[in-house]
Amino acid sequence: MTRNATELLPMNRPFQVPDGISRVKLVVTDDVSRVGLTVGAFMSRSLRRLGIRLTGGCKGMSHDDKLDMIEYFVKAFEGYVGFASSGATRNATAEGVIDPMITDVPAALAAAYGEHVLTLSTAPRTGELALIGDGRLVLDDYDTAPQPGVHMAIIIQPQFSHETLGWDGDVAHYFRMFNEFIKTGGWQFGMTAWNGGLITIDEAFMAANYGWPVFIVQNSGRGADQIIELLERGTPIPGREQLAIGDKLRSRFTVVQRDDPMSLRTALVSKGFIAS
Amino acid sequence: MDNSFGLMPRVIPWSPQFGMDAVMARLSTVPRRVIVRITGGCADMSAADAAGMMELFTTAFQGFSGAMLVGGTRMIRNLDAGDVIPGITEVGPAIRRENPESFVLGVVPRCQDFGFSSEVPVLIVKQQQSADASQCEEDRQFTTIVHPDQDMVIAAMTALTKDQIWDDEVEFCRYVTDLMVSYGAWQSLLVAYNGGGVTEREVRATAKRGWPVLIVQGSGRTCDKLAVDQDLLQLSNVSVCQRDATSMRHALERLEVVPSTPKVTRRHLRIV
Repeated sequence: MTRNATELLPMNRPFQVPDGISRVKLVVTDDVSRVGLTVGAFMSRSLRRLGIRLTGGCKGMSHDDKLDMIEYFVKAFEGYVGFASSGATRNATAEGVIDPMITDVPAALAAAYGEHVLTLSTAPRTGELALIGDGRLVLDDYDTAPQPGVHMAIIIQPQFSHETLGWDGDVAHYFRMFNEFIKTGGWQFGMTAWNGGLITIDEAFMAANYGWPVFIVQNSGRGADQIIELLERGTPIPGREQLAIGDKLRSRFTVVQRDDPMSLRTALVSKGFIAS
Repeated sequence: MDNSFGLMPRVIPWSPQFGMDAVMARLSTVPRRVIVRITGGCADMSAADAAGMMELFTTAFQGFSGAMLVGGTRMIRNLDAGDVIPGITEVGPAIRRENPESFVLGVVPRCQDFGFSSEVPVLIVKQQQSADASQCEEDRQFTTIVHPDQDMVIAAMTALTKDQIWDDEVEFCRYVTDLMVSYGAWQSLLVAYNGGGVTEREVRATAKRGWPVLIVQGSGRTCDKLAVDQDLLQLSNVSVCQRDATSMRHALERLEVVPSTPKVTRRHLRIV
């Protein structure tokens, strides 16, 4: 039976590392080689050579909608055995409660499915790392927390440490790594896109161009729905007017429904991510 | 040209600035998360002893489905004829041949600029002359090439250490092992056979780090010395086995490097 989001995430203790993980490996590096080596060694722990990158955002969503999103993915991924990756942040409200984001989905999958789902968070260093309060690590001046619910997190910083990266600063790194695992290790990778902005749109198109299956959740809002508008009606995406979809690229996108997690699950089964 | 596994081995240049994504991706396909470093040498060994060494390892490692880190070279006496000089670097490829699920990663430090042979399709690492005056001139000439029977080969292009050039091989293997143990939760084992000064440094450093070490007693030189070194043997991560397949097999099983239900055939045991 699928548990709900409030059972899977420690809602009132947003910075707690779950018992099932106990220690999150954290790598902060500006070394391309070290990204590949540490993440690569870590990925060898996956029970199957399957990987999903969860991209997107939650802007404009209510707290209940966000909880529904977590449950949506947990339900859709029941039976999935492999590797799951997303961004490396966790947000909390002023009241000290988790403000769920797409980056909490791998943590919820790890909580729900234990060792079957190996989880990795990646993020660029967008601000000055700092310790606050009783020694808690934060990633920027907004006190953004690193995601504590995954097995490993990697923070990628620019080679000149006084500078910072944009929020897409980790994208090229994870694509390079995962694509090498597809090419040399025989892995299969896919991407889900929920809501999100321009970076999500870019990630989805990059994934599709690399040949990954991309699952777009309809009615999840913003970027995901804009991609679907482009797919179905040819409506240009503001800020990404140059994006066009030919037949080959179109075949890599699958539209799934927000009110029906089984539609994502069916799509995952059909692409070989979950055994039927 | 394919090797005897039906592969074109990939040569990966290594430098601190260069990613090794392909090696990591290939390691992710290995069924058993164990990485075995095979180190040592073969000086003072007869041809019969060398053949015995090959039989010892291939028998003891039956059913192995992990990864091996080995010296990635082969020594050839007469390049045109391809007369292979038996050595420890033949062991990993031989185990891989018998155990198709395993993976062998060779490491070749840069001795001089790599060269292509115009006569035979090999990549030359070094051309040397033996100092053994008892050998005829033709036998004293030998060529070190990149061993063709490997899944992947790392060309360690920079000097990682300030010691002998072969210490770079050791340092690289330590680095990869550390990654797999730390981030991949792999098990490791260093197997030492015969060897000289580089081998002794590697054994002592690995033992001090707390990683499992297996010394083959009776294999000669350094290993015979270390196998009775009481300071070393006090460490719980250091084991000694005898130079016979049953002894090595028991040690490998106890260390969970090979399956505990061996399929050692009578044919193999008789040869030992």
